[in-house]
Amino acid sequence: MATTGFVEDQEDDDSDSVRLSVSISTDQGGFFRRTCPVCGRDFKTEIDPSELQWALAPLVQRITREEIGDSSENENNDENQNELYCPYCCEKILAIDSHTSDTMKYIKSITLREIVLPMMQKIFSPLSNLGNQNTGLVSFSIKYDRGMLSPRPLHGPEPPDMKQIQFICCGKVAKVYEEWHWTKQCVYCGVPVILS
Amino acid sequence: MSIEFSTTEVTEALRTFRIRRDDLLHEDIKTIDDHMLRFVKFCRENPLAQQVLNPLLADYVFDVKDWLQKAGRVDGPLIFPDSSDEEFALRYKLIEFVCDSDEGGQLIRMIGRNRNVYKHDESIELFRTLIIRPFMEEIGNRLGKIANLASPDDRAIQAVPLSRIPSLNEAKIFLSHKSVDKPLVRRYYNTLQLLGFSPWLDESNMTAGSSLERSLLQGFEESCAAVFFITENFKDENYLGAEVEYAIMQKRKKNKKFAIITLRYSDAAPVPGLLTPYTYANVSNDLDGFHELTRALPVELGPMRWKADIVK
Repeated sequence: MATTGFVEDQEDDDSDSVRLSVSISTDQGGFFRRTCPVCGRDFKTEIDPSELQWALAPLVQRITREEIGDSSENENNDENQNELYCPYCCEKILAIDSHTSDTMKYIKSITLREIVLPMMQKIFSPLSNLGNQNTGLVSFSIKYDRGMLSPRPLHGPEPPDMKQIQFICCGKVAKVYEEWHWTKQCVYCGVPVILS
Repeated sequence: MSIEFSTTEVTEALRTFRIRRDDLLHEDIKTIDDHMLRFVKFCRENPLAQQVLNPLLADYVFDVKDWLQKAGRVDGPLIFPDSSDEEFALRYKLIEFVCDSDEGGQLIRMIGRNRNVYKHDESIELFRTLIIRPFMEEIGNRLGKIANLASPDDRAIQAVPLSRIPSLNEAKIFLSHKSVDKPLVRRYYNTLQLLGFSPWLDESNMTAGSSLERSLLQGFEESCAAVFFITENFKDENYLGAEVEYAIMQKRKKNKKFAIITLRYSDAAPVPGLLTPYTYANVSNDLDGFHELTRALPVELGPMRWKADIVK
C-alpha cells in the first residue's frame, strides 16, 4: 500500500518553494516502519496520508541543507520536535530521527534527484556557457555535463509483519515484533501501560 | 497453484527484493551487469517472485528478437502490449534477454538510437528508466499483494494505561441484600464471576467466625461498587440501613471510583431516600437488571479472547 504526499521544501526565499511528490509504502493496515535510533529495533506507527507532509518535510529539508552544505537550522522546526516513545527501550525519540535506513535512502535519493541536482544545474548552467575564457590574467575552462538523471527511486513494498498493540490511552495502534511482550509505555503519548 | 508463505518468508523475500531492486536502479552504471544478474536470479529462485511471474510467463510467450526488430523500426516511444499483465511479462523477458543473450547489447543500443542517444552509458540509463523501473514498480505492487495474503489476521493486543488498572483489592462489586433474596443475588454473583468481575457476597467472602460488621466494612473498602436489590421483600427505610451508610461513606471517599447502584424490581416499594441521589433503575427481570448494573459499574472488562481450553 503506497501513501502519496506532497512535501514542500522551503528555500531561503519563502516565495521559492519546491513541491515534491513522494510515495511512501505502508503495510496493508497503513502502518509505517520506523527504527529506534537508540536501540536500533524496528516498530511501526499509524500514518495518515495527510500526515505525510508533516512527517517527511523536515527530513527533506534536513537532507537538502546537508547536500548543499548549508549549516543553518530551519527556523520553522516545530514539526521536528514531534516525539515518539520506543516500545522496546522506552527512550523518548524524535520522529524525524526514527526513519528506517530504507526510508532515509529513499528520501535522500529523491531529494538529490528532484531538488539538489536541479539546483546545481541552475547554478552551473550559466557558467558552462562561458566555455573557455581568457581574461588576459587567468585562463579557466568550465565544462558542465548535465547527463541523464537516474530513475526515480521506489519505496517499499512493506511486508505485513509484526503484531498490533492498541493503546487505549489515546486509541492509537502501533506494531512491534511478534515475540515482544514487554512494552511499558504508549508509543505515542508515553503513558505507562501494561499489555493485557 | 497458490502457495502459502509465512510472514517471515514474506518479510525476507521483500527485503531481498528491495536490495536487488535498489542496486539495479541506482548503483553505478558500470556495475549494472552484476546487479541485473543478481536480480534475475532472485526472480528465478525466490518462491514469492515465482508466484508472481510464473503464471504470466506461462500465459504469454514472447519472441524478444521479433519484438526487437519491430520496435527498432519505429522512431519514438516503445510499443508495449495493451494488457498490463502482458506488458509486465514482456518487460521481464527484456531484462532476462539483456542478462542472458549475446544480443542484449543490441537491444540497449536500439533503445538509445530511438531517442538519438548514442553513448553506451546513456543508452543503459534509458533502458533502466524505460524498461527496468516500470517493471520494478509493478513487481513491487504484485509482490506486496501476495505478501498481504500471508499476513496474520488483524488482531491487536491492548496496552492499558497503568492508571486505568485497579488493584486487586479495590475492584470488587459488593452485592447488598437480605437472606430472603439470596437466590436472586446468587444468580448475579455467578454471572458477574463468570464474566471476570469480582463480586462480593457475604456467604462466599466472609470467613467463618469473623465479625459481621468488620467483614462488611472490609468488603466495602475493597469494592468499587455497591449494588442494592429492592424487591417485593423490601420492608422499610431501615432495611439494609448499615450497608447503605457504608456505601455512602465509600462514595464520599472514592468519588468516581465507587458507584452506588440500586436495582428496583417491579412491584417493589420505592427506592429508599438515602439511595435516590445515586444510580437506580426499575427493572422487570434479571437480564434487565444485569444490563443496568454493568452499565453503571466504574470498571470494564478487557478484550475478547478464546477460552484457554479452546486454544491449545
